[in-house]
Amino acid sequence: MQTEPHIVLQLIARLLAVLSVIQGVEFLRLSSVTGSQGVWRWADIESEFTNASVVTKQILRFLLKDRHFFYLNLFRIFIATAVLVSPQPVLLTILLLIHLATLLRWLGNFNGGSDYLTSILLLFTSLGLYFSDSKMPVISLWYITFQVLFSYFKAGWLKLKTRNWQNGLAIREFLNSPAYEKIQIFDRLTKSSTINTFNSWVVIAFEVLFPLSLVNKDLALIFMMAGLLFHLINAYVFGLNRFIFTWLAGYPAIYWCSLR
Amino acid sequence: MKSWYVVFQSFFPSWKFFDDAGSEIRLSVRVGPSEIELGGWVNCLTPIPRTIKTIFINPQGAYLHAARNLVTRLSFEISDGDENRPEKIVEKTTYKIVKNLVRYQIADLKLASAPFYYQFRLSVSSMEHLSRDADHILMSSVYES
Repeated sequence: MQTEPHIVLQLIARLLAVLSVIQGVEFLRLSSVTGSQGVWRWADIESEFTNASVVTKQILRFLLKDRHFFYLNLFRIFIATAVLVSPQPVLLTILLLIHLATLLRWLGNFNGGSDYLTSILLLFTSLGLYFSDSKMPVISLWYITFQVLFSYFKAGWLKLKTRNWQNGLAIREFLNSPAYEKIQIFDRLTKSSTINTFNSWVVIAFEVLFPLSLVNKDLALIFMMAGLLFHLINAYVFGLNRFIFTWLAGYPAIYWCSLR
Repeated sequence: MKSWYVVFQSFFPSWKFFDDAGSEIRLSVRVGPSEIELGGWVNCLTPIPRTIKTIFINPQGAYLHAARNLVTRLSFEISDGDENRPEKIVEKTTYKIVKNLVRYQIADLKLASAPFYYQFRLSVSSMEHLSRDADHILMSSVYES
């Protein structure tokens, strides 16, 4: 496959647009918690920016204050829909700015890892598409690939070094954590230390070995299929639905790099 | 200005996911009709739902994750804070938002109808020994709704 890098970036842009629609819809549904009688009230959050310039404060207030944040998310959905039709870099830049403003609105504490990868993907996809006649699209694809592969590898490596992951105890604790709804089947499954240890090593092996997808396109496809399954399971088990499309958006870059 | 740093940091993630079960941080609340008639402690945050329906769009899950991240952040701020002046914590934005969260959850879980008094606490317990006594790292004043 001799696909041009900017075509791959356009595909990534469209996947990011789907992610942005999901994010926008979720924030609209959560408008009561960001309202003036909610949890993350602008009146409280604003105090974090007392040292910012007057202009910055006015811009932040205009974008993020109570009901304004609702309209910002309507705008996010509108722009994301436009990206689906025509993935222009300027539209992606707008999505990036909305995303960064959203991080400020939640004091950086909304969805952790998926927020971080979203920042990287939006920035480098925009840059690659802005400078499509230069080396930038290739640099963008390799950088996105590096970050996605590194995210799996480092997460796996840290687990590999942790005794409770080696003996399966950690996976049992996470599956039965009181932070998540109790499911009978997990209760039964995690009673067996053999099953816990096996599941632990499957997760560790998958994460640590994911960079092997760069060896060839067949391995890339196998790891990406496994990755999709991994994220679907995580969405069900840990409520990490946003991770699906965030990591999926990086997969075209990995596939393209695996062909080099 | 930590929030600006968070935006900058989002381009340089640490990529640590579920590496250590560590500890469970619990936000509990008790409510009552007067300052001296508060009921028993109850969990303030409901468990994150596990259903097939929420695999792609999960606002409730996202909200509960954000709430738990917020509570974790407050626990870090408490441990990083000035030991000699623990009362300073109530001036922090994170504390104010957690207080809003408690009030919001009291209404959402229908724990009381206005007017009411409430108090909240933050407890930390090891994931390996959840049944053992937790360490209460914050006990709020009693507030009126």
